[in-house]
Amino acid sequence: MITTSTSINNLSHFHQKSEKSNTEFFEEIDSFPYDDLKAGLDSLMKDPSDEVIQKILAYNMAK
Amino acid sequence: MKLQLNSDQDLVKLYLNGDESVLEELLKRHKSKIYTSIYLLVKDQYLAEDIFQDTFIKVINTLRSGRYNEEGKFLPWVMRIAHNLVIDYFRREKRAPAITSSDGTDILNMLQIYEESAEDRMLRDQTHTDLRAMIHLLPDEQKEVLIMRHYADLSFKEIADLTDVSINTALGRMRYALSNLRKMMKVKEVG
Repeated sequence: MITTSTSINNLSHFHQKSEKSNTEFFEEIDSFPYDDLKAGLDSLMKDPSDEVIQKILAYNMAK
Repeated sequence: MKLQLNSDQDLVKLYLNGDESVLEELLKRHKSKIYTSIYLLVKDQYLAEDIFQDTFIKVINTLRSGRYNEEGKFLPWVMRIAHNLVIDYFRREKRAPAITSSDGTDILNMLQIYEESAEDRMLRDQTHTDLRAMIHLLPDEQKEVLIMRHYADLSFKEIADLTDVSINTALGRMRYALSNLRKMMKVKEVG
């Protein structure tokens, strides 16, 4: 007779991982290709205009 | 006092204690992350600036009213406000974010702060435009996670909370977003 068994520990292993280990796992497996993309993605970073910043600061200081 | 040495939470505490000038340091610290995140979602400089401004007006009003939850971190909280305002905008417009490529050369031109040849500039502008177009070609949920993770620097836990999905779903969306970007870049290289 052939018997089969499934390890409950193995099945639930992924779900039992802490959030931190999931994140580390993900970052580890994608670290190299994502590093290649990072410079390009960073190049799209930009700031709002000084005018908008000044409007916010003026609103902030208004009583 | 050297505000740069203070954590966000310390600055918020100072603000709540009446030192409203610390908002300038919080703005300086996070404006790029928040603005870029908004801009990449709405794809319009002026609309992004309006939403950025509305976000901080809400931040100021909430802090002043004493409704800020000190248990949360400042940046994810501000990003949640910005995210909700972007969603409100698209709901008002009754349309989903478009996925066609964006030109945006007017904005890129504003970034030219150093000397470079016309050829270099064209190449750089094209690279920026291509990459931005690729980001906009991603499905909305993948684009959202990529922007929040890379530009807003949120953790996957924070992204999961903000978008009301599990951490594994957020991780999966990021993985697909990166995978799709790599595929698009490869196709472009081959082409």
